[in-house]
This record gives sequence, structure tokens and C-alpha cells, in this order.
Amino acid sequence: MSTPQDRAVPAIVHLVEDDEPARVATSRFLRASGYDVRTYASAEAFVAATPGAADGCLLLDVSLPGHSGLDLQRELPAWAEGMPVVFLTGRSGIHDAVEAMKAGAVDFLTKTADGEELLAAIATAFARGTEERAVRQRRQVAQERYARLTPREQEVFAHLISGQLNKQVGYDLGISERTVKIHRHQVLEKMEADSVADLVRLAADLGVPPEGTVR
Amino acid sequence: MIRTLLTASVTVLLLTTAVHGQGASPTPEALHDASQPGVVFVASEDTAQPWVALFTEGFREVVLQAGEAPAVSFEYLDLLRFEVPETADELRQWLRTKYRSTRVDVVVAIGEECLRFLGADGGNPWPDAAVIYVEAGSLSSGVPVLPGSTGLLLEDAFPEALEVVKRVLPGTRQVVLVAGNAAIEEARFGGFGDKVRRAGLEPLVLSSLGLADVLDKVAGLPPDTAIYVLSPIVDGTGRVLPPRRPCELISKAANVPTFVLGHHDFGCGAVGGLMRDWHMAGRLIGRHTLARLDHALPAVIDVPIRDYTTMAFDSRQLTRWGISETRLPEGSEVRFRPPSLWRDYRALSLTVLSVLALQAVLITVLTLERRRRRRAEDDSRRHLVVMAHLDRRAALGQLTTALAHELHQPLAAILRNAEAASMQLTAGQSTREELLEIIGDIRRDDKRAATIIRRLRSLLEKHELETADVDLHDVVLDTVALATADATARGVRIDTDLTAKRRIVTGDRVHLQQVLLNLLLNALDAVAPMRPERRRLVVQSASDDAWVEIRVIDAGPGLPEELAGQMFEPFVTTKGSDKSTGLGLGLSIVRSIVEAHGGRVQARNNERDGATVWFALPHRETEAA
Repeated sequence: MSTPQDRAVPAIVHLVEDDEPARVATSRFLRASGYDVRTYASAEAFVAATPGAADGCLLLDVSLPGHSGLDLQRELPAWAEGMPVVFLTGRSGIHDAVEAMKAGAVDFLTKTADGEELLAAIATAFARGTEERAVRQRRQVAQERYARLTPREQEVFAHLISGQLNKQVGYDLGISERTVKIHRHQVLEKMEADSVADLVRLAADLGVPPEGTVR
Repeated sequence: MIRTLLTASVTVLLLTTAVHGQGASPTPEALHDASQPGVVFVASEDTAQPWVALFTEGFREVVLQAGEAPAVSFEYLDLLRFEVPETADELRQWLRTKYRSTRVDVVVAIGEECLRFLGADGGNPWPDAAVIYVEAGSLSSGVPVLPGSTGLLLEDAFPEALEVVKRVLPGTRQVVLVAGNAAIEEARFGGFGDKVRRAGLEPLVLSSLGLADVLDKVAGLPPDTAIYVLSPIVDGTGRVLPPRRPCELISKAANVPTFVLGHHDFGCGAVGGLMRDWHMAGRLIGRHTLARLDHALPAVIDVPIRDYTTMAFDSRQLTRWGISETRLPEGSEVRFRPPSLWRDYRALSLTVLSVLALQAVLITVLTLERRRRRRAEDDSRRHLVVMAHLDRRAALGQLTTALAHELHQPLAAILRNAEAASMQLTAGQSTREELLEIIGDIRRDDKRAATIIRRLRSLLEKHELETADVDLHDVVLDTVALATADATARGVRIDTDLTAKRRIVTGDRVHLQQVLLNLLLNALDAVAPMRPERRRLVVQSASDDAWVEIRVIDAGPGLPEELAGQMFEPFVTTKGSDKSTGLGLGLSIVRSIVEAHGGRVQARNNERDGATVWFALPHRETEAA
């Protein structure tokens, strides 16, 4: 388990909790545990805020006046998109928990859960956040490179990642093997890849499906 | 037999006559029309005697009111007290002169003495007139019977009167006769002792005593005695007694009941009984006088007792001597009753009594009705208590999850604070102030948890209706706090908008809380499925001088039209059949509770979204917040 101290920048926990004493106590506890804590009394207050850094996790009370925690999870503001969410609830409503987990929550804890459990959930959240950030970053790079390809090159890209030889690609696309070679060179160049294996990894980040069959 | 000794021995003389000799040629002395018949009424005694006055009165009533009334003159000879023979002659002479030019057809002679007076030699002042006389039984011997005269002979009433005495006083054995001492009185009453004896009683005649001695005597008589006061005129000492006075004094002094012969003495203190009524007798004679003016009459007419007697009793004396009215002969008249509402104002009394009775019945009925109603009210109140309790449990059941959540809040806060303190202590980075603050927060949250539990418990307990001063705003705040957890869990916000002034109502706090809780839960159900911006309730208070109103305003779908007016009836539910929670009793219990507090509850749709349900209660004097 990673601790906040391991990080270069203090990790920010965004705590949305309408009950003031609980808010104070929880933030006090998290601070003592080494986190930077921002508190909000309602979903609306969180939406209205514009924190500088997107790095953080959201500790969200399920029952909030007005928009509930679940509402907020579904409609996160742009700046908080992808932020991992840990839910806190005063009750053990299985329905809410399922809904929250389906929507991608990291964890769903009762408010009276142990502090250690809470810290573990937050740590997991940060870990997932870091991971997702990395994935997102790679995808972004790949997308930028992918965007440089011409439509024909994108077609060639899709066939290459399926493992087809130049000849098969040429056959499928109705072009000569030589032309395929030229496109392949361009694709590797533009995608900054050394090999087809690199292209396959980038395709995974991009979510582009392979085309054609290997005979 | 005994002569005429009835109180008034009365003789009436009647003369049919042409006018006397000189009547043929009218003279200046003739003052009235000779064609009008003339009647002279002659009494032996003076007009001051009550019986004479009554006689005269009865006579006048009849004679003077006849169709063709005769001219009537009255002469009172007053022979009784003055027994001087010469005066009679002079009087006769004087009367002859007085009437010499007056037509006299009939002479009515009252008293046997009048017959003697008229019958004396050469004495009759009205020799041509017909005579009608009255006498008891028969005339005394030596009384001249004038030719052509008619005697009204009264049946002797005394024996019958004695029978009445025996009837009303069955133990009577002796009768004291108080008579006067004048010669004429002796003549009249001399035979009375024998009559008493014949009635089986012992007579004791007191006639020779002075009145004072008589009074002494009658005060100490044996108890089985009755006294007959025979209207004495002159006592044993020669004193002339005023009429009625002897009877009054004797009745007052006597230790036994007294009786009188004549009705004219009635009321003097005598018991009453069968009494001769001279007014009746006067009228009787009047009628015969008129008849005699018309035609001849027989020489003797027997007059039965009933024609000239009255049976009457003095109520006061009956009471004094303990004589029951049931013993009185039939047809008796009872006079001198003490003033009695019943007797004098029977109709009015009956009316008043009926009204009172009616009122009493009405009051009784109303009281019973009221008691029955109160019992019914007690029953319904008990039922209300039970129903209300069940309803509260249902409502709280609905709230349980939310309340558990609410209880989690302070518990979680306590946990986090304790952990924080622990961490800070471990790291050695905390300040004393920080720790104290944390401990303070822990204590506060602990109290908060305790409050939630208390609030719940008070609503869960079975609770009798109590009446106390309740701050309605406190009720609102408490209830809103209770419902907030559930509201929050369902994404609903509850705001309060209360007037600055606190309103005190008289009632039961728990039940009032229940009312608002029901309204809030209904409103929550209504708005929970709405879009987030419409998930809002406002609890508002408003008041005037007499009423305070608590409104629950929601922005839900509003009330269905078809439920208007019956929302507060049992088993009417606004909730769809998909939700089995709505038994439909909540609002009817709300209404029952509010009405038990003298208030009312109503609902209407808002102009824009949702509905408002409110209840109003009468509040007490306002107290500043």
C-alpha cells in the first residue's frame, strides 16, 4: 500500500459531506493521516468549485441534500473527470452500493468503518487514479500520432495490427505489396513505433480494432 | 216544639192591600205613584246585627231587581234590647202616621217579635197588607197568627249541625252552649240544651256568666268538648256585646273547637259546619214576596234545611284542631286557606311545574347524552391513542433506515475524531488545544446521538394523550430533524420558514409531532421521484390572533382531483398500488389528532407545482420569541 508520503505532491482528498461534525472529524483524521483535504457541504458546492489540480480522489457521502452522491458520480464536472470515487454511507443499502460500484466507484464504505479501511480505500483510489492517468496519457499520445495518419494509412494500420503480411494487406485492400510497404513505413514513422508489436500496444491504448484475417 | 230560636227568628208579614182609606184621593203626602205596589220590610232587631244586614241584603237583591220592582221601605224595630212596652205602642202609632198615605201591599216580618208587634190590639200600622213571616219550625205559643198571612217555616238545622260536629269530631261527648242572657235570647235558645241531649251529647249552657268568666271557663274544658257560640248579644253581667266579638274571643281562648249557628259569624275562629245563611234566607223571602205580590200563597210554607244553610269549614281551624278534610261531609266548602300558589294559581303553577319538569327531563337527557358522548369520546380517544401509536411505529419504520443513518453520523464523527486524536498523539504532532477541541467535538456528537435516540424513543412509546403547553415551532424543528435523514437519503431538502413569534398551543407534543411527521413523509413520497430541483419541501408557519397554521409545501405532482375533499378519510390513499406502504390511515389519524386539538387540517394544490397540506390550531397568548 502506498502512502501519501510517497508522493511528490500531496494527494488531495475531496470530501463531500453535508453533516458538518462528520465533515470536520473526517477531514481532521485524513489530515492527520497526511492527506491534503478539501471539504464541500454538498454536491452543488463541489461542482461549483474549481480546484487547480485534477489529481485527487473523491470521498463522497451517498446521502446529500439536493443532488445525491450518486447523482454527482454520474455527472462529474469536466475538471474532475476520471477522479476515483470512494463512497461513504450511513447505512448499508445494497442497492446504492451496487449502483455505485457499477458506475466505477473504488469502494463503498459505511461511515463507521475503521480508519484503516478508509485509508486503504483512499490509497487504492489514488493508485487507480495514477494508473488511469497513465493510461489516459498514453492514449492521448497515441491518438495524437494516429491523427497524423491518412485514411489509407489508418486502414493499413488496422490490417497490420491483425498480424497480416504485406502481401495479404495488399490483397485485402486491392493495392500492390510495394504500395503497402510504403504505407507501412509511413505508419511506423508517424506512430513513432519501432515494430508492429509497438503498433499493437498503441492500438490497444487507442482502442482501434484489428481488421482482416491471417491466413 | 221549640219556638223559633234561630238566630234570627224571622217573620215576614205580607199584607195584600189596597192602599188605605185615603189612598183613593191622592194627597200631597203621597210621594209615590199609587199604582206601584209597596212593600215594608220589618225587622225586630237593629241593622247593626250582621244577620239582619245579610237578610236585608239578600232580600233587596231579589226584590229590587225584579222586573217591576215594588217600592220597598225598611223598618228596624230594635225591640230586643229595649224591653219597654210603651215604646211599642208609640212606635206603632208613629208608623201608622208615617205610612198613612203610602200604599203598602206586603209586610215582610223578620222575627217572631214583629208578629207580636203587629198583632197587638189595634196596633197594626198596616192592617190591610198581606203578611209574610219567617219562623223556625213553628211559632211560639201566644204569637198571634194574622189572618191571610203566610209563614215560611224553616226546618230546624241545629240537630243536623250537631251531627256534623259529631262527624268531624267523632270523640265529642259534651257541647258547651254560649248564649246571651237577654230575655229574647233565652226564649230563642232555651230549647237548645234538649236538642244537644237528643243528639246523644251532654249540654253545658253558659248564659249567666260575664264574657270574661266565659273566656276563663272555655280555656279549661275537657278535651272531648265542642263549643257552640250562639251569637250572644247581652252577657250575664248585662253588657251588650258587639256582634262577632264573643265568637272571636271565645275561639281564641278555648282549648277545644268552637262552632257557630250562622254563616255570618263564620271566620271568627269557629270551625264551621252546617250554618244558617241569612243571605240565602233573605233571597228566599224576597222571592216569596214577589210571588205574593202576584198571587195568594198558602198559610204555611216549609223551608228545607238546604234552602237556607251552607256547609263550610275554616281551613285554619281544621289545621288548628287537626281535623282532616277527608272527614268533612261531601260538598263542604273550605274557606280561609292559607295563600297557596297551588290553589290560587293552579293553571300558572301547573304550567310552571310542567316547564320545570320538562326542563329537568331535558337536562337529565342532555346530561346522559353528554355522558354517553363523553364515554364515546373517551373510547374514540383511546382508539386514537392506539391507532396513533401504530401509525407512529409505521412511520418510524419507514424512517428507520434513515434514522440509522442519522445515528451513524455522530458515531462516525466520534470514531474519526478519536482516530485522529490517536494518530496525532502517536505522531507527537498535536497541540493541547487541538486535542481539547477534538474531545469537545466527541462529547458534542455523543450528545447528538443521545438526542436522536431520545426523539425516537418518545415517538415509539405508547403514549397517552397529555395536555400541556407546547411550542409549535419546537415541534416543527424536532420533527423536521427526524425526517431530514430520510429526506436526505432520498435527495430531498426540507427548509423551514417560521414566523419570528413562537406560538404556544395546548396539546400533546408527541401527537402533534406525529401530525407533522405524517405530512412530511407524505410530501417526501410525493417529491422523491421528481427531478432534483423539485425535491424540496418547505415547512412554513403563519398565525393570526387566534390561529397558528403549519403548512407543508411540496413541489410534487400535486393532489389528484378525484381525492379532493376525502384525503383525510380512512383508507383513502394518494399512493399508487405499487407501494404497499400506503394503508391510507395516516391522514385520517392526522385529522383525528388535529381535531382532538380543536383544529382543522386541509390540503390544496399549489398554483404552480405541487400541493400544500396545512393544519391550524388555536393558540394561546403570544409570547415573544
